[in-house]
Amino acid sequence: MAKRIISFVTVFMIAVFCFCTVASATADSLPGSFSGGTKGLMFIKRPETLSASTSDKTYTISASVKEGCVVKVYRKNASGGYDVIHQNGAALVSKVGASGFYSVSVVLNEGDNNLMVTADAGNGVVQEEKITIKRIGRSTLDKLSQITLNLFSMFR
Amino acid sequence: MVERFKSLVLALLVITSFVLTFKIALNEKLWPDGYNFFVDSRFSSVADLASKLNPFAKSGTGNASNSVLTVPNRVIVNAGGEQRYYITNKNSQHDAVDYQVKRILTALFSSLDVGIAADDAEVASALKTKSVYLDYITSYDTGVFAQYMNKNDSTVARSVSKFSGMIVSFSDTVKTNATVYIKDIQTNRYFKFDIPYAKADFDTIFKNIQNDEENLISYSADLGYDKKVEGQRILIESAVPIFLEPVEVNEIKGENPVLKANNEYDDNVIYKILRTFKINPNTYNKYTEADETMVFVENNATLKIHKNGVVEYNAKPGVPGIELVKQNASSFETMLAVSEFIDAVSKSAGIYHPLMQSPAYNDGVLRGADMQMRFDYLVNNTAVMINLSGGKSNPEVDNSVFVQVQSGAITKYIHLLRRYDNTENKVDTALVDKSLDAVFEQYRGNNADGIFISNIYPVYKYDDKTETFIAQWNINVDKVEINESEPSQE
Repeated sequence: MAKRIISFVTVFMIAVFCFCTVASATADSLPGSFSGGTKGLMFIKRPETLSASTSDKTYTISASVKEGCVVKVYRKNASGGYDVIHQNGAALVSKVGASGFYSVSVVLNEGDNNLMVTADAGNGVVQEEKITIKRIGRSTLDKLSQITLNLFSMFR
Repeated sequence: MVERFKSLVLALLVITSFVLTFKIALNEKLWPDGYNFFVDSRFSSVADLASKLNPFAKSGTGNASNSVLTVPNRVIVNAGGEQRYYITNKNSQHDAVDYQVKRILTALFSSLDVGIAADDAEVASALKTKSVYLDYITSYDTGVFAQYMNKNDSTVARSVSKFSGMIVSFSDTVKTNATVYIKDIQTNRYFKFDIPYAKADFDTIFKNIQNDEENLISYSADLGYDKKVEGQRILIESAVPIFLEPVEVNEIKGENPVLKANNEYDDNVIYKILRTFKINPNTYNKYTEADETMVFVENNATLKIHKNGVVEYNAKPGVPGIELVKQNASSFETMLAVSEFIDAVSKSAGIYHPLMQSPAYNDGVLRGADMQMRFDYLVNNTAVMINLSGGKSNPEVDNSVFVQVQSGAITKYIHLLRRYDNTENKVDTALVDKSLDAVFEQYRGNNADGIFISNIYPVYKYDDKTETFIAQWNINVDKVEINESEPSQE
């Protein structure tokens, strides 16, 4: 009898764990270790290598996504988890239409911007991609371009 | 002494009479629109002839004339990275950009440089650096365009036969030249031209424009929308700008100029239109159809003025219509004469909006003195797209103006007359992504697996049910991939 109870409790706990994992796929906050475990729902087109540098205040992420998927963009918080980004009073959450195109401009902080994009097809079928966008300060970029210019002049 | 004085006075009087006769014959402002003794002579063949002989008569300054046709429909200043500015009247640098663009175009079509082939990646890179994107949204024959720029023999036309836009790129290191990238839409290949241009002139614009509000614009190549991955249904030409936010435009309204406020025909406007079509008020037969369309029949042609403002001219088969140019005229001469004729019709109805060749019909015929072209009005530098379904008497109208010229004479002409004006309201276009969804939904209904888009730009679309003009994205679909295994849903 005791074995049966233990088995029942174990099964119940596994079921609850699975339910929580599925439910958390659509949540606005996710743990840092979150993994959707699915592939083929979304292809990130920009950035091409899942990491990029820019001096711009915003960065446009683009993707080709399966129609009907809900795409969310998260930013890594101080405790290592991810929170859905809110811009201009609205969460970066969007349902992808027939074109399959998804693009969003994310406002960047100085330094590394650790982002996560999820595509949720429902019923717990989720794909996630982690992206890092480094925002370089204007002064750093000016120094870099100065070096490039000097090098260019040397070879003329 | 007295005799000499008399001779001098007589000579002065004779000269004065000649000068006044000349002015009276040519200057329309001497006569008001209302009834008076001279009202008919203004349109007489003598006046026409005198006008042609007048060396000071304005030519090519009409609405659809070369000065307007060479102005790009859309200009985007790329200040580097994602810093991009869509140039409209609201932009502080509008006039400065306009002036510099004219200089660049003049330098380009005066240049003796022959184009060098360039690839898409080079163009995509130019769009990320300091550059200017010029979009005509319609395609131009390069040789004819060069003639609009008063350049008869341009080397640009040797590399590029037809184009619809260009990208002007400025190097950080080369201060005296700019590079212009143009895609030949016949061969789908880019060519670049180095033109003499002092970059410092545009540097001031790049500096001052930083004070304006940036626009969220990415080009298709930036977003990877020009490269297909598995499951992707839409491909977009690499240099097409994708606006990532709605674009605000003025709401417009249209007034039918052939009708007065009481819904009756305006005789004054009708009279002027007849004169423009060289229909003699003393010789035509006139009758009114059941739907109140006015029909004027002459020996060689029929002119209908419909109550919805559509003017429809049809020459009888086998007879010359309205002669515009000689049979051996060049395409440029024909285009210019057609532009001036359209301007004359527009002005007879008090319409002063510029026109552009319709982007929806890039395959228009243009061969010397034979042509078939369509034009749309530009209001707030945005094309007005018309689609009126035809009726028993009314013709179907897809563009504001349709012209058919055969052997230098107009044989068919359809013109929707409208005076456009801004209302006090501003309206936003939809998001481009949502418009792309709607377009693909339409094609999917016909078993399309994929589509190729060559341009996306804002237009005013006329809704004839509500008689309103809706600001929306016009999406040019060039190629469609059909899934042959699926039965059609239609």
